[in-house]
Amino acid sequence: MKLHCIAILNRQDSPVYLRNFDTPSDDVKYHSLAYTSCDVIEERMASSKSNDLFLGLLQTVEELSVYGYVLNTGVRIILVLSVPESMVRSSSVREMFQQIHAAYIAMVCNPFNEELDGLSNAKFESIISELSRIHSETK
Amino acid sequence: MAMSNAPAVTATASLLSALSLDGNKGPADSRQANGSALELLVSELVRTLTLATQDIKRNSEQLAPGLCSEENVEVAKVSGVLPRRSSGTNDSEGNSPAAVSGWQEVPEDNELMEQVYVKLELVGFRVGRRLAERFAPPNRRLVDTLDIVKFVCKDIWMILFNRQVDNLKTNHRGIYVLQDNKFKWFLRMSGNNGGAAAARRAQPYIWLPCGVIRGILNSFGVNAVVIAETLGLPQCTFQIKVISDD
Repeated sequence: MKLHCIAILNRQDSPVYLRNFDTPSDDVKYHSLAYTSCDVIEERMASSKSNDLFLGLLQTVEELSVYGYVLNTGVRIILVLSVPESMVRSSSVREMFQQIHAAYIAMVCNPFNEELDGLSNAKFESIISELSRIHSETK
Repeated sequence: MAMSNAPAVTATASLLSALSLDGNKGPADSRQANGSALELLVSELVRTLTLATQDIKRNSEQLAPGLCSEENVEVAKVSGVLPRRSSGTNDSEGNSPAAVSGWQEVPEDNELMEQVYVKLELVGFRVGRRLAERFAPPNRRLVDTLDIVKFVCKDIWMILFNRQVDNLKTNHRGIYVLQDNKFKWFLRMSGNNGGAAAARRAQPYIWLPCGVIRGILNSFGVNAVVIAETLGLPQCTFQIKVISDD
């Protein structure tokens, strides 16, 4: 399982953070993937009665799987993974989301972050890098 | 990302292991802060903001006379257009004793207290937004405004004051009234001037929680106006008027 992209969008669907682990020229592709995933998220949230923040698999594009997670405050986290042989447990994806959620909370609570949108922070970046490192090694 | 040597790898690995959401943490992992520390901090915050605002106001009054002639300023002061210097007699250096000996009494100056209100409420708002992110339940979804207000009454009140709101009333059309009969920050206040005067002096202390509630609601997409009043220490009531949802 390889992690390709992490995107965080705020309640109004505007991007707050996007980290692309492939080539920089793929940025555009991941931006548009994040936006299309937003529509799927809206649908899922409107229809689903579940009490869960994890929304599961949103869409698959070529060999990429897109998973979504929506916080109570409306912030959307989107993960783009490539899964060889479709072997991924939703519990491990859920765990990744929870780690990102915890890192996001830590970043927001930092009093030196002036705005709660437009985030970027060295510690958050290192956590995200670590996540991608872990998940590009496992087969 | 730079090539990592062995110590760096273990350092970043421990970064991840230190991360966990509240729902997954055991009781031994959760960290708590002393509630008294918060009370002491808030009382100093109110006092400091009031003194600082008083200073700013006095300095801007000193600058304004430079812009117009002295007699105009005197006329303006006498006719009530410009506020007079703050209450209390001035000593020889022109400093009001309130600034030197400490703040004794809530200033009579309504304009000053309005400015203090704006600042305290804004501080509360920023704190509320962060509280919402930090303490929103990670394992369930808050669906409607009533859920969110209940979250404030139970979880947030428990976090800030170690108790829950006593009474929640709503008209189901966007007005919520939260009643706390033993508001924690009022418990240590004694008003020997009688109920009404003590209640007025205690006003600034509920401006901060107003901002906190507004900030939390704003995080969940609910725009509201929050007003607080106290009819007698230690009781206080917060009224939430929802302007728009999501």
